[in-house]
Amino acid sequence: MTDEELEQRLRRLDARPERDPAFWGEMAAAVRDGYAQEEARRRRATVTRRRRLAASGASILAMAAALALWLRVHHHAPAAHEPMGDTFHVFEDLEPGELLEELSPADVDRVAKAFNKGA
Amino acid sequence: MADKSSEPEDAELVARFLGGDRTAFDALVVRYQRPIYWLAYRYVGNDADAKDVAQRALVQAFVKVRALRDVGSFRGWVYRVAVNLALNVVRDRKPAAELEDHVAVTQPRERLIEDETQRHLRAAVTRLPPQQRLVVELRVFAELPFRAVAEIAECSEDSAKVNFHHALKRLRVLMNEENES
Repeated sequence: MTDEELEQRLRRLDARPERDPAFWGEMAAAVRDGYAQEEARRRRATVTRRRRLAASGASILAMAAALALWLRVHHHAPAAHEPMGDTFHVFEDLEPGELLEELSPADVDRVAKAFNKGA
Repeated sequence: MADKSSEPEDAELVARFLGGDRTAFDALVVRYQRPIYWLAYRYVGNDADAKDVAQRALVQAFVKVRALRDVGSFRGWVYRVAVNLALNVVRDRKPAAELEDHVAVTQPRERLIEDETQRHLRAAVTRLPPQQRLVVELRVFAELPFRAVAEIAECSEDSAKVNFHHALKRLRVLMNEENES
């Protein structure tokens, strides 16, 4: 059997089952629906990803703010080698009442001693 | 029948589709649903799976068409997706089902012998190595030029021709085996 004969036989083997127009119409509609669903799914996935990203950004900002606040409150604490009586705590943004609420009992004692010493 | 030369090229339709033109989408579906369905049918051998493969291939092709560097290669892209999906279906349900046979039972002897030969040839095609089978499918059944076959099969044009030549040789061997068994 020559190559040409074999190709002829192969062509006769070709299966192209006839379908009515409704079949192709249904398939086209299914492709449109499938594409619309897939696009909607991708859009939802994109929105979810952006929300996750925003949420993680917000949580990082919140943690940074908390850290900054903590440092602001605590970084004036006297170092261990400094004499207690010469150290003054200055809380510029806080009202006196708020200042007392922010201080621990030990801090209040230290501030009172310093105040008395100064007085 | 409409004059093919007056029909817009794939690249133009894809560009319009990417610009939001739904009529371009429909035109591409109408253009490719038949050849993709027939190609899938020859691989999977039944209507339901072929229809499913064709639909999924077209949907995937449209979803990922934005990733195509050359929008003119839509045809190669959609054929490749369809072949991969069809191969997955066949792989998942081995042994492969044969094509639904439409041969009538009452026929002259010569016709029966001819049909038997064709049946052997059909079985031999399914036993070709994947790349050789793909080249035969695209060249003989989809009637594509070797340049397009090479594009879809992701090889050079010369390699596609060599694969086709080897496929014919291999088919002869496989048909002899079928006859002997």
